[in-house]
Amino acid sequence: MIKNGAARADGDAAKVNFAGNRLLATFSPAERALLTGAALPVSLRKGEILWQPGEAIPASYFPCAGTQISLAVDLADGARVDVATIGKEGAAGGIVSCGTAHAFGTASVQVGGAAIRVDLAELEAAKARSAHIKSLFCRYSDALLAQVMQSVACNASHALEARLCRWLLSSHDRAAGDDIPVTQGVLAEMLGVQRTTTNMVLKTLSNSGAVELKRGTIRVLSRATLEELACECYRVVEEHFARVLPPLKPQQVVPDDEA
Amino acid sequence: MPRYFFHLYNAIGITRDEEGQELPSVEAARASAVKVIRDILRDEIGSGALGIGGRVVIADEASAIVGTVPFGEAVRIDSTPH
Repeated sequence: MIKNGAARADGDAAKVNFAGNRLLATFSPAERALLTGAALPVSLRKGEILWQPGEAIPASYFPCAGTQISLAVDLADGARVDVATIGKEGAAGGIVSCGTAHAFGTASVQVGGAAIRVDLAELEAAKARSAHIKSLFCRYSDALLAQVMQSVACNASHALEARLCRWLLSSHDRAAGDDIPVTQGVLAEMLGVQRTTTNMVLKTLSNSGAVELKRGTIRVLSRATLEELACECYRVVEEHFARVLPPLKPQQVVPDDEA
Repeated sequence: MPRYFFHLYNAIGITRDEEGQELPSVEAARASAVKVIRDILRDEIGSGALGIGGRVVIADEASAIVGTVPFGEAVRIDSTPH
């Protein structure tokens, strides 16, 4: 397991691509200036642990491009269950706690790539100076809580195939293309089941033409089929995000060429 | 640690395990197969139909079969009338 909470800085703050993340993309030039020196482009490696339970969180991470961070809870029997996957639509670290608390769960990099690391104390200072930034993070906290609430209900009640389809759809939204770079082992861990069980469901999805399985990658072939098989949990969370977060033109979030 | 592969035989056909999993012993692999079966049955029971005729075949890195766990061995069914 790779352990490097500080991540690797990719370059100087001047090169920060605010437009690569949906939250940061809504910042005006003046609001971006508030984070000068505090926001750094970083490259997150797949499998990297950003923090573990009890640790003080030094920074928020804003995924860009196809980068995804998984928030998970570790159970005493060794099982790790994913409660939220965060991509370019959001941020992880000190969001709900407003920068003061210790980590409750484990944050790990599920899909490696570009992200923007913002020092938490500086982010709090920027919230104090900008009504937009303050309101944005309050609304995003609400959206993130909704995501986790739906996840609890979904894990408790829905069949594995529906949950897996839901996960694939939400991961596909955050991916750079149709390929979701995830091993079946990691996927099983996130769904809280055995690997072979996940393989079985993936096989039925592959047989129905919804996905194509390659080693370490799941390619989405038919979103329509996945949407049919998924529970309502994917759709209701998406709808809540759209209602709660400020409207954003699609072209405002642009991929980072340096990713 | 040796790597074990868990091939699943049930109503949907054969699901071959290409990735495998590192485990300390054949006993640990059998315990893992039991968890797989319970996962599947737990999920199935929610839909009201239980397929108990499947099996998990455990193979080692040389593709040699080191164990088979029938679904029925993973659960104890008590059908005593009460």
